[in-house]
Amino acid sequence: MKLKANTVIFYLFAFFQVIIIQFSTHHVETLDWDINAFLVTSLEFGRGNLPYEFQYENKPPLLFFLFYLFSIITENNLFFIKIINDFIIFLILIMMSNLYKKNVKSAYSKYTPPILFLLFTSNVWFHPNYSEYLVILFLALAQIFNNKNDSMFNIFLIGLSIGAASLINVGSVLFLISFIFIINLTRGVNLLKTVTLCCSFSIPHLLMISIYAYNNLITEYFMALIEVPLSYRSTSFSLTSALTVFFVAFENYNSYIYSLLLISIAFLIYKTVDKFRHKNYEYDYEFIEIVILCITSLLFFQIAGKGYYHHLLLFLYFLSFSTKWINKEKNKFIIIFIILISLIGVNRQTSPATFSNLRNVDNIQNNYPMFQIALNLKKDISKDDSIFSTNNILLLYYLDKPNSSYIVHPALFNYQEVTEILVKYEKIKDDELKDNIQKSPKIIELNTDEISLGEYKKLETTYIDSNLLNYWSKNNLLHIYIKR
Amino acid sequence: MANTTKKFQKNRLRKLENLLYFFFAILIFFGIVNVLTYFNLKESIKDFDTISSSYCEYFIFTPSLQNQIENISIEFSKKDIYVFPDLQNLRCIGKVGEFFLEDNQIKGHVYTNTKLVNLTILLFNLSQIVFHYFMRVHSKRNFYTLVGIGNSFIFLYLYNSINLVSFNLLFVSLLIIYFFDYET
Repeated sequence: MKLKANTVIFYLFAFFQVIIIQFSTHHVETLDWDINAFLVTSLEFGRGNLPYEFQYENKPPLLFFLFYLFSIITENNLFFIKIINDFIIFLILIMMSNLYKKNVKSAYSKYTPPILFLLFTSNVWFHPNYSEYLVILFLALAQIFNNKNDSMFNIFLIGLSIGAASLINVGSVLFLISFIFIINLTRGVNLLKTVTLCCSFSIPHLLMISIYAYNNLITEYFMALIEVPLSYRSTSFSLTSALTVFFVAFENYNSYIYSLLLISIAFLIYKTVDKFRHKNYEYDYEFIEIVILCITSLLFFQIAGKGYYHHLLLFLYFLSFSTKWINKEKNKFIIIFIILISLIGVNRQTSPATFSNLRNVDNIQNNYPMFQIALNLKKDISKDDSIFSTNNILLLYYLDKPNSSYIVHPALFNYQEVTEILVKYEKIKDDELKDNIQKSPKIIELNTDEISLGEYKKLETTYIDSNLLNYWSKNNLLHIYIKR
Repeated sequence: MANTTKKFQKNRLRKLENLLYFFFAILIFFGIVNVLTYFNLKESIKDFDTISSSYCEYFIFTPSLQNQIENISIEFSKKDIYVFPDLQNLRCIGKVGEFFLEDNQIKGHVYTNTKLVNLTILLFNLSQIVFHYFMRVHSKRNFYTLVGIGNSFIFLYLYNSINLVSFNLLFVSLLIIYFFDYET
C-alpha cells in the first residue's frame, strides 16, 4: 500500500500533536485512580489467578488482560504504559482518517474528524488510559469492517470486534444493538446476517465464560458482569444535569473547542432532520450510521449512571465525524479557522509542560512518588506479607501485591450498590475497613490518619514531591503505616 | 381539484400563523404586565414595609442581584422553585419574595427555574424551525423576526433563570437555522 504525501504529513502531524498534548501530564503519577485499579487487578494474571477470584474491580476481564500485557511489555513501568495509551490514541486518529470515504473524499472530510477528536480529548480529563479508548479502538474496527464490502466474513468480524469491546467495558454491549440496526437498515433486513453478527459477538463471551467455568468461578463472573452493572441502574442520575456540568466545564476549558462541539451537535441535528424536508430524499447511510452511534453513545453515558466525563469519550468520538459531511466551502473554512485557533490555544497551553517532560524523560518514572515509596519499602516486604490499601493503590502495583481486601478500587468502598452485592456473596464484610485492619497486614495505606493503629508506625514520606502524586488533589497527604 | 387542495392548505397554514402571532401577543402582554410591576430597588426602599409583606408580586429586572443604595445594601439570591406539580409557581419566575430588612441590609430571593426556561428555549426554537422549514407556515422575514424577538424576550425577561445551557440551546438553534439557509 502506497501512502500519499498528504497522508504521511497528516500522520506525522497527528503523532506530534498527540505527544504535545498527552505528554503535558505524564509527570503526574495518578491522573485517575481507575487506571491504578486496572493495573493492580491485572497483576492477578501473573499470579496465576483470574480477576474476581481474589481481587475485584468492576470492569470485564479482557481489559485487565490487556493491561497485564501492557505491564509485561513495559516491565511494570507506569510511564511507558501511559505512552502505550498515547499510541492507542494515535491509532484511533489514523483509523478515523480512513473511515467513511464513500461519499466524501476531500482532504477536509478525511482529516477533520481525527483533529476534532484530538481537540475534544485535549483536556487532562481525557489523558488517562481509560477503558473507553480501547473500546473505541475495537468499535473503530467494527466501523471499518462495516464500511468494507458486504461479505459475511466482515459481518462476522464486526460481531467479534463488538464482543471484544464489551469484554473491555460492559456498556459497549449497546453497540451490538446499534450495529444490528445499522446492518439491517443499510443492507436490507437479513436474518442470516443478524444471526452471524450475534454469534460472532458471543464467541469471545463464550470463551471467557468457559475459562471462568473451568476454574469454578462462574458465580463471580456473572456477579461482576451482570449483577453489579445492573445495580448501577438503582443510582439516581440525571442525564441533563450531568451534561450541563460537562458543558459548563468544557466551556471553561476552551471556548473555541467548545464552539466546535456545539457546531458538530448542530450540524448533526440539521443534517438528520434536513433529509425529511425533501420528498424524494435518499439516505446517506454512512451519516445515518453516525447518528445511530452518537445516540447509542449517549445511552452509554446514561446507563453508566455516574456522570464521569470519560463516559462521554465514545460520544465525542462519534460526534467528531459529523462535520465531515459539510458541503459548502465557506462553512468548511469557518470550521478550519476555529480548528486552527483551537490548536494554537491547546499547544500554547500544553507545550511548556510537554517540553519540560521531554527534557526530563529519563527521570519521569523515578520521580513518581508512590514508585519512590515502593522502592524504599521493597526491602522491608517479604513474599508472605500482605498490604491493605484504600487510596494510593499504585503501591500494590509497584510491590506486585494483591490488596488484602477483595475490593481494589478505593471508590468502590463507598458504592453501596456494589458493596451490598459483594457482602451478599461473602466476598467482603459489612465493615470491610475494620475487618482488614484487624487482619493486621504488614502495610496499611489509608486516606486518613484518624484511625488509631497502635502496633504500626507511620512511614516518613516528606522526601516525595506530593505535587506529582495526584493531579486532582495536590495536597494529598500520604498515610502509610508499617507494622513495628 | 389540486388548486382547491392547495388553497385549503394555504388557509390552514395562514390560521396557524395567526395562532402563533396570537400566542406571541399574549407573551408580550404578560411581559408588559410584569414590567409594570417592576421592582425598582431605589424607590422600593422608601415604602419597604408595604412591599415586604407581598409574595411573588414584584418582578425584578436587574442582572446585578447585589446593590448598595444610599446606606442600605441589597442582596438577592436565586432560588429554584418547582413548577410541577405546583403550577401556580409559574407566576413567581423572575419575581422577588421572602425579603426582609435587617441592620441596613435587605436580603431576599429571586425565584428561578432554569430547567423550565431551557425547555422553553428549546421548544420555542425547534417549533419555529419546524414551522418554517418543514411546514412553511411563515415567511423568512416573519420567521427571523419571531425567532429574534422570542429569544430576546426569554433572555431579557427571564434573565436570572438563564445559564450556560440556555446560551448553548440558543447557539445550536441559530446554527441549525444557519445550516438550513447556507448549507442546503
